[in-house]
Amino acid sequence: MKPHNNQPYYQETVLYRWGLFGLALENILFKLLNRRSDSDILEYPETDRMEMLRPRSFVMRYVDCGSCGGCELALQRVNNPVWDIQKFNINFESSPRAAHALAMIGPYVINSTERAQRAYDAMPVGAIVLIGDCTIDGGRIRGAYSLATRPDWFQNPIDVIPGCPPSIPVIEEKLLEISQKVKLTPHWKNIIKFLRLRRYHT
Amino acid sequence: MNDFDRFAHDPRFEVAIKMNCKRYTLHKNEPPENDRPEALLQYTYYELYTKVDLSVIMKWARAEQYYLCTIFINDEINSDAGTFSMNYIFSGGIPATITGVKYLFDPKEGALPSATTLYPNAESLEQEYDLFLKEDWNREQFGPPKVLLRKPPKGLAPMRQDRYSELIKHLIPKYYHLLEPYLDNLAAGRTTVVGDIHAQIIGGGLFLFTTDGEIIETVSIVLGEQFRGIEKLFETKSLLSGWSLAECVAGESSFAHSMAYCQAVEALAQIRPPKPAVYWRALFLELERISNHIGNVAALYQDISVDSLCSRLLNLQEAIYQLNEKLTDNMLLRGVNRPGGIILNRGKRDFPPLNEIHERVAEITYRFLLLCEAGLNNRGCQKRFSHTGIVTRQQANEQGATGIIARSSGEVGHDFRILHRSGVYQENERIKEILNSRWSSGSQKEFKKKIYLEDLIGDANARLLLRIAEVESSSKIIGEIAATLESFGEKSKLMNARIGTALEAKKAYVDFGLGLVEGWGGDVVYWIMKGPDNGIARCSLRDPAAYNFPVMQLAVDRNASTGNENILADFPIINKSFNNSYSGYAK
Repeated sequence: MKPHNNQPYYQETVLYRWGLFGLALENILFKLLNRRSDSDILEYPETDRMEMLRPRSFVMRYVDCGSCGGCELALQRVNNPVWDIQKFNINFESSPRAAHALAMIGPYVINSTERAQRAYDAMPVGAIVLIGDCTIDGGRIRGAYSLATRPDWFQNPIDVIPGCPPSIPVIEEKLLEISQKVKLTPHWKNIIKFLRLRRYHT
Repeated sequence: MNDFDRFAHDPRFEVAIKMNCKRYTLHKNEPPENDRPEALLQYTYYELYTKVDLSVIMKWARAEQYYLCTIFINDEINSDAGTFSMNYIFSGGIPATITGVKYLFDPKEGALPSATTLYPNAESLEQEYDLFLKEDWNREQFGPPKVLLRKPPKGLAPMRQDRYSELIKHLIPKYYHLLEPYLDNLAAGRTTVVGDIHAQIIGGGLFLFTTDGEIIETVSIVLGEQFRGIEKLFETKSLLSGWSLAECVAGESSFAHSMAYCQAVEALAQIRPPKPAVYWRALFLELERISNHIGNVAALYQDISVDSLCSRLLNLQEAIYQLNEKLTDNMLLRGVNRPGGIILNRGKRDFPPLNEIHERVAEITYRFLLLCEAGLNNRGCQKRFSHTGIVTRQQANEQGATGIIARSSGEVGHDFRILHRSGVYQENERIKEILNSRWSSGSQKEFKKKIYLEDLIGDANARLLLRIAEVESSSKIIGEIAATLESFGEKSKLMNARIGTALEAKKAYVDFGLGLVEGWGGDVVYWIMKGPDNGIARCSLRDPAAYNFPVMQLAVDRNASTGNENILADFPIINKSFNNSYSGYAK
């Protein structure tokens, strides 16, 4: 099958013979020569509302509480070059100590209670986001014997993203709302007050 | 225990099979071949009462190189037998058929036979015996299993028929199976713990490495964080509504699981879904395969830090996901399969016509092949991939690897689309040709790299090459399917067969059905027994991860005979090239 517009997508470079210099040059030339995007086969435009909700930073830590992996694929998809939530300064990092919120995915299963509790204890501000139908009330796994009783902090999330798996526009909009909301919770106000006092004294 | 060795030289074993066991076929009045429901396979069924015959049959199966599909225990207190039964399902022979072995036993006996001496891949399935038995069943003689699974405590036996979830919940203590027991007795200074939670957006397990400098000597894997008890939860659903739970086992292969579930229910009812439904199912299965393989290759290059290739490949995966959403409103193709057929809203505004589906997939594979050629010509990448995580053909055969891992080690015929042909793969000759020629790709002019059998030595490079070849073959299959679907014309509107009355006619606690599907990671097996009021009495499911995780341990460990030496930085590559689903292993 040929492409529909008869243009080559990639020009072969023969720079691997030049060793490491060739590899570096190949990387640069690859980016320069292949600037044509895949926009001809992708069709979702960005809305004006997304332009407005711009860039407060928001750092999340992903915690798996017994999920099937569908919401995981959806979140990996949101970090695509196409649906780039990193342009809104929303990142998934690997430490709960530096996280603004925990993203919990999965029904709260007994084998994952300890892990979730440790991640929550390590956070400076206890803020939770529940992603997926399973996390909210059990979803398709309602009534199983392996679901643990949820602690109080699990039942008071900042916000909830429904769906099985949630669709990408919904995830994006909700995460943008949450990045605004999380800075208005009482914990954050105390911390900001403390920071203001510190700056005043110095 | 050692029952099997006692009868190694017994010349009477053929006589024993004929005399001491009953033989059933699934249908007494078998319909002629053209009308036979496509989900049914030629099935012979042996029922045994003594351990002698079981050992004999197991030895014979291993000698004939039969492949073990599943093992499970069934609580048959409500049926005529009145006791527990252990069921083994094999697939083997030429042409490939299914044989099932059922062994009745009393749960109060201490010692149960174990199949691990002959079939090491049975270890991960035998760990679930604890869910039925209240006392130890003599497992410690074999040593700890390769991959540990965190399960409910002993004495609980939640899978029995007289247990229900509220009762079980009262019996489970608040916390059990904490991390500490696994972190005791580690070699000081030589262990690395890659803990419960992993860095990126990935669910994970606990890996404990013992290293000699940089080289990994052994790894011990502890899984089970996603244990939800789905097999028990199936018993609260009805036969017609259980597909929604089957999709929940493993999100990456949700279509394969729901398809296997629906095939099992159709086998139970002996109803054949209409042809357009069969073809659409095959199309969606191949779409799922393509999207997962592209994502896998992208993640492999990300682990090597070649982000240029990774991001471009993720764009292509995004294109497939958008195609999925146009067809089914769901990126993982959920909500499509029903027992009896499929449900598709073809009157939607954005629903693409069939030739457009084919063109899109063909263009995506064209770009995918060009990108992969760039990666394969790069010697730095080749150095990272070649000779990491070697699984030899003998190891794959003995340990029971499935799917890509078996095929990349040399057993190229281990594909359930070839072995147990049903539906699309039985009728269409060109699809058979495409499947048989995956490892000699290079038909496209621009993709010059050919994949030969000599390349399939079982390392990460071989798995990468085979994934590329499977994407190519899947796109060709989609082309064939689209062409035949167009030729159906008006008939293609009928997608669903009536199955309710046929199900009501079946007997509870007696009739069962089996569904086998080749998902993108291997074969998915569902066995369903009917319960009262069109409910489910027992649903036993097996994801390919149950067989491939112990094989991954072999690929990582240092092995002087095969020359397998990996450093700690090779482990992410091996893990990603296998890509077993953690939630499929711990269901």
